Amino acid sequence: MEIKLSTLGKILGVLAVIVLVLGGGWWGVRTFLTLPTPTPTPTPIPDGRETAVAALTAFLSMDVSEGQDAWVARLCDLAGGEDTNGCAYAHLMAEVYWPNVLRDKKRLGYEAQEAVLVRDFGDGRQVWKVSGTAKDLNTGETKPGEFHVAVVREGDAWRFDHVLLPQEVEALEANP
Amino acid sequence: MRKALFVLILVVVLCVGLVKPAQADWGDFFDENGNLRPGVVDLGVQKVPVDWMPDLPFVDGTATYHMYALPNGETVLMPSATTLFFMAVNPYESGLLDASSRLSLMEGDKLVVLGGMAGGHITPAEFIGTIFRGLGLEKYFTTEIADAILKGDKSAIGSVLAGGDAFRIFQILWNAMKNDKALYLTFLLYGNCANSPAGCPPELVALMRPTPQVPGSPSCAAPTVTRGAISAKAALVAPAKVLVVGQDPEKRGADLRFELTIGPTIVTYEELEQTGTEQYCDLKGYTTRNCPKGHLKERPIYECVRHTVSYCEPPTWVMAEATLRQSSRDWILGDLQWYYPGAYLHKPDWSWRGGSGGCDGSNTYRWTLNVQKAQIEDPGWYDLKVRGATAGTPVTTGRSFVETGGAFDAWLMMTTVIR
Repeated sequence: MEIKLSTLGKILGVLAVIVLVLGGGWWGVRTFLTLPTPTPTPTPIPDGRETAVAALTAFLSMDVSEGQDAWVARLCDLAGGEDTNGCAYAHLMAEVYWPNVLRDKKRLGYEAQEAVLVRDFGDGRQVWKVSGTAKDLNTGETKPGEFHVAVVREGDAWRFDHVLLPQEVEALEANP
Repeated sequence: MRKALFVLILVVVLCVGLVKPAQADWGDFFDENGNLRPGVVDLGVQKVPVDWMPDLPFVDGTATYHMYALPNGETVLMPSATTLFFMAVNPYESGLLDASSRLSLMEGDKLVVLGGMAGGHITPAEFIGTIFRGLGLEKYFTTEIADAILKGDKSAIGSVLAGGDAFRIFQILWNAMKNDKALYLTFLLYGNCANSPAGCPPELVALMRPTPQVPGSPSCAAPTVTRGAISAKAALVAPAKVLVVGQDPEKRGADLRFELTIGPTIVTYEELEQTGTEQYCDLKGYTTRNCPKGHLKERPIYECVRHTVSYCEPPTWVMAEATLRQSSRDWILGDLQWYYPGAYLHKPDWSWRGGSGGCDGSNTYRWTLNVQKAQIEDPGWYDLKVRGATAGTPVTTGRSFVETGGAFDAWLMMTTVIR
C-alpha cells in the first residue's frame, strides 16, 4: 500500500513536530531546572528636590495672560490638593502679589539652575534652597532668584508646602 | 456684618470710654448707632505696594486695607487678614504701632480689645498677641513671641514658622479668611492719612485739596499754606531748690516737665461756588424791569468762597534735653577749682525719650514728658530743650526742631550756699 503525502500535509507535519519539541522543551525546563528568580532592584525614595524646583518655578511664573486662578491651581496641584497648607499659602500670596501683576500686566518666568537641601527635619519635611533666574517676559530683563522652599512628604510623593519667609530663612541660618 | 462690628465698636468706644479724646477720635467716624457719619468717605479696598512684605523678583508685595477717611485726613484702616499677619510680624516697618488708636475683634464678636499709644491700656505686645489670637494662630505665636518680635528678634518668628506643627499656619489663616471671621478684625485709627500705611489715595487728596478753577470763571485767590508754630515749655516741678545729688543723702534729684506744641498746618483756598441766583432778560436792550413776558430767565451766581483745611503735624521722634550752660561749665572748671581742686564736669548733658502726645480736635499736636528724680551732679544753670522732627503733612514736608522751653538751677552746698 502506498501512502502519498501532499505538500501541504508535509508542511503541517513539520510544524507539528516543531511545536511538540518546543513545548516539551519548555515543560522540561520548567519542571527540571530551577532558574534564579529575578530580584527587584530597590528604587530609592525620591527626595523633595523635584517638587521644590517645580513649586518655585510655578510660584515665580506669574503671567497675566494665564491669570491668577491658573497660578493658584498649579500650586495647589503641587501641594496635593485644595485642603493643604501649600494651597492655602498660594491663595494668601495671590492677594499679596497678583494686584501688582494685574496692574502692570506682568508676564514673569523662572528657570531653576540648582537646588540644595539645606534642612531635612527627618519627619517628612525638607527645606530646599533653589537658585535660578527670574525673567520679565515683557522686557527680557533677568534677575537672580534664590528662595528656600519647604516641601512635605505625603506617602511616596513630595508636596509643596510654602516658600519660606525671610524670618524663617534667618532662623534656619542661625541654627545650622 | 460690618454694621454689627461698627455698633460693637461704638458700644465700647462711647460707653466704656477708653479712647482718649485728645487723639483722632473714633466718634468722628461713627455715630452713636454705629453708622458711618455723613462726612466719612468710604474709600473701599486700597491695595498699596509695600516693602515689608517678602520680596519677589519684579513683583512688590501689596498690602490690602479697607479705608475710611475724613476730608481733614483722619483715617481708619481695616487690614485684610493676610496683611494683618504680615503687619504683626513686621510691626515697626508696617506702621502697625503708629496708629493713634486700635480696635481688635477676635473670635467673632466675643471680645473687643482696645489699644492706644496714648491711652496705653494694652501694651504693643498684648495688641500683637490679640491679632494672632484673632487669626487663630495663638498656639504658635504666643505672647513671648510677640515680645520677641517687638524686640526685633526676627529669628524667633522664624523658629515658630520652621517648627513642626507650624507647617499648617497658612491653612489656619486661609480657613479664617474663607469663613469671613477674620477678614477684617482690626481697626487702626490714624490722625492723618500721610502717617498711615496706606498713605493718602488720590481720591482723598482730591477731597483735601482745593478744586481747580473752571476756565473762564472769576479768578479766585491762590491757595496758601501756613505751617503751625512749634513751641516748647519746660520747667522744674520739684523740689524748689535742687541740690546736686553728690551732696544730698536722700538723692532727691529734680522732677522736670517738658511740653511740646505743634500748631496745625492751615491751608486756605478759595473755591468757585454757587451762592445764589439772579434774574436776567435774554433779549438784547431789555432789563429785568421791562423784559417781555417769557424772556425773564434765572441764572446762578458764582463767587469765590474761602475755605480752610487744617492738618496735624505729629513728630516722628521727640527728645527732651537739659544742658548745663557754658557759663556754669566755665565756673566749675574755673572758680570752683579754688575751693575743690580737681573739680570736673560729671554729667553736664542729659536727654530723655518717651512721654505721650496726640492731636486734638483743632489738629494741634501736644506732647508731654515728666521726668522724675533726675540725678543732677553738676551745679549751675541748665537750659531745658525739646528736640525732634516731624514727617510733615500732606501739603508740607517734614522739618526738624530744637526749642528751648525754660531753665532751672542746681545748687551746691559750700560754706555758704553759692550758685
